[in-house]
Amino acid sequence: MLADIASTMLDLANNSVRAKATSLRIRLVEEEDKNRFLLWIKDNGQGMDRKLLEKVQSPFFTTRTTRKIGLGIPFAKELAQLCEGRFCLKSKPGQGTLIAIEMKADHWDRPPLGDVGEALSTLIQSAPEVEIRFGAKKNQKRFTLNTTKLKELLDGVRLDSPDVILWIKDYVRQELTKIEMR
Amino acid sequence: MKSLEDLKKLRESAKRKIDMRQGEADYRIVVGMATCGIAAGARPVLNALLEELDKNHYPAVVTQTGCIGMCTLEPIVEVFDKQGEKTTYVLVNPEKAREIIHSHVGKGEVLQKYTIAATGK
Repeated sequence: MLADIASTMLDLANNSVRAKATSLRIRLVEEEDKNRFLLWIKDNGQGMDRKLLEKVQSPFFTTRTTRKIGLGIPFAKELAQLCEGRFCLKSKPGQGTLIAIEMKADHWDRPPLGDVGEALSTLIQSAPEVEIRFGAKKNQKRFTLNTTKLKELLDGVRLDSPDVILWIKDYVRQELTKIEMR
Repeated sequence: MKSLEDLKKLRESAKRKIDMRQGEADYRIVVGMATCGIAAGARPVLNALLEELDKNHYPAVVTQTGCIGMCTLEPIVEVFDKQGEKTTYVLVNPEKAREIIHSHVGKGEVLQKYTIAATGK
């Protein structure tokens, strides 16, 4: 299992980028009254058929050729099970993939949130061409970030230029603190 | 406080920088960002690289890649020069990343002690 939720989010989102997604939606939801913490990622990438969907949940499978094990999805599944939550992985070839990890928010084994600003800016830096729509919700407070809108604001300046990436990191950190997601 | 207004200011300064900067980047820096890299701390390393490059206006671009295949040596940072020569730095942390930028990209000197060759593997 990875050290924090931000790292898990980045790791899983990287799968979507590798699956040639052009649009990626990420949500973090914390509902204190329901004692629920949710990480939800949906992409429009190449998707997986039923057979592959089963295989990717095993640590002894990867699509990569550099080594023979792949831990991203098994880690995610373990995380949900450990935190008495639910794990959901749905996919259709040609349509995309949805992965969701629900955890008991106050569970012993629920990892800390981690640095979501840095995770998100790292993701955007690796795939500036992908439309990323990020949403965080804590109880009734919300924060959203949409890379298409940022691009419009930037008017031709690259989304992955270092100063913009560093700004995104600080901005996300600041806005998440405002909605008290930590 | 960061606001969307800041982004507009960044945009204007970035446009000026582009005008000043002629020619291509001298170095291409690649960071492994697969599950292994993330677990080993590649994210803060990438962030440190970007901060140093931005601060010093060094001529380099940073990209990310998946698993480089030596998970025990992550975080791995590869520096390619204009001739395509590759230097592989291993077990990098944010402090080492800053040193690497200053020495390799800033002065053009390979920082031997952090290279894969120095680990003897």
